[in-house]
Amino acid sequence: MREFFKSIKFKILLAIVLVLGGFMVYQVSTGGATSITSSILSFIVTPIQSFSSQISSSVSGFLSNIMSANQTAQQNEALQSQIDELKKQMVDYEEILRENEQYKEALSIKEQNDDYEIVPAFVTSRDPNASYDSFLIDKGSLQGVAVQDPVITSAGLIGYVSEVGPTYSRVSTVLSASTNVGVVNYRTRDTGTVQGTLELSQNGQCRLSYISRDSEMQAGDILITSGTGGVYPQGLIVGEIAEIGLDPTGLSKYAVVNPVTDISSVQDVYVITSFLYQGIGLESEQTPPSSQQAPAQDSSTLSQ
Amino acid sequence: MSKKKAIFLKYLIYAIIILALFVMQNTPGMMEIAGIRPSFLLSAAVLFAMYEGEFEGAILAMVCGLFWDFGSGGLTGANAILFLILGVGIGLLTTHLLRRTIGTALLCCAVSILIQMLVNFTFTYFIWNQAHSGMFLLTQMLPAALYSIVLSPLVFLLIRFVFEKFQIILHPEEPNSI
Repeated sequence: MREFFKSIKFKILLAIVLVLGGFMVYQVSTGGATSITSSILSFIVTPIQSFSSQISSSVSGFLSNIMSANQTAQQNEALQSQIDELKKQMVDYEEILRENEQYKEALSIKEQNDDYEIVPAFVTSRDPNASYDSFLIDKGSLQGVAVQDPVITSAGLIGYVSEVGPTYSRVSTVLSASTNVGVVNYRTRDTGTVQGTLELSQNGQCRLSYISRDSEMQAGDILITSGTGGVYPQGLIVGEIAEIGLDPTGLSKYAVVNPVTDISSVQDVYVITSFLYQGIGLESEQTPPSSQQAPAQDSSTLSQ
Repeated sequence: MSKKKAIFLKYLIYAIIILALFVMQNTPGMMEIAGIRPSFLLSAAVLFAMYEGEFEGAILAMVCGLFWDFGSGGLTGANAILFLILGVGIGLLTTHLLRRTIGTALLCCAVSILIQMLVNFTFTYFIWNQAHSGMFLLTQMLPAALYSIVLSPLVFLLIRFVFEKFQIILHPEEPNSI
């Protein structure tokens, strides 16, 4: 062992140590300047290391994905349930917003008509094969809805309740042929009956019949309920006259009426469960319904 | 194959091994467990010294140290000198006292790694009185050192394989001699 420390090899190693020590002193004295050995090594190593880093990154990313797959799945599940919860909250929010709007409208109607008892309802179903003459609402006999109750929007009359279940009701609209609404022309005070026809219901319109040939009705006139039949309260807007025509018989005129609202897209409605003079004149004019289904015949205007 | 060619080829393979170990040691994320990465260069330096002796082994150890310095961004030459000294010491011990077995290799690697860790800790953190340096030693440096010790037999097998292959060519009459 002693021979080694006296040998030339040891002196070479000692020289190397001194050179390295010199490098260190130089590096310290120049404030950390890159030494020549570092420069040479970096020239060799950096491209290789860059390449290996990319490979390592890809491999570790892949392994990490595999290792964390279970955790990711759990996170995904948790996030999915959060999304579901938020969706539910969003639906609830929309529902509350809609109800709020509906109650505001109901309040407005109620303020204008003290005698009305109103049940707000939401259109739940429309038969895509039927025309726009009927739809289902989410309120029924449990909420006090009864057959022949008028159904309105804030704009005016929509139709009447033709069928009642405990939690739903079917509404026949003014576009339905089963609906007869006694109306008064707001301007001329002429009376008539609004009734649906299959042909006009396709366009979302209905027909005002039995207009006197001498009537001065014209397009643009507003029709309101006469209220004398006891089915519909007085003064509800039914629609606006779109055009006037002469009956084929030539004895009277008819008018095509645009209802107050687009019945095909109406969503929020109000059922008037009670109003002043409700039912007065009805018994004498109309046979009471024997079942839960009945047509609304506000035909008192016919007799006028 | 001539001896000169064999010697050139052997050192070329050693250089490739050093380069590969350096890349493995310094590539982010490679063989990383809980934020702890192993080092291979010191094990390689020790094993070069064990197989190549106190001179050639020490030179190879110094090259490993230079790579380490370059990779760590520290003072260039600090680890090179340390590795060279360790290389001389282990080379002499192996030549005169120890046998080249996996046990002695593991022991030499462990001692060297722990010495290097303590020297590195002392000059990088301790003497500068850095805050939480003790915690850093226990939670980062020591686990990394242990991880390196655990993996050192792999480096041993690799270097022994290369050494023995060339020893048959270079010293067919005495394959186990240095």
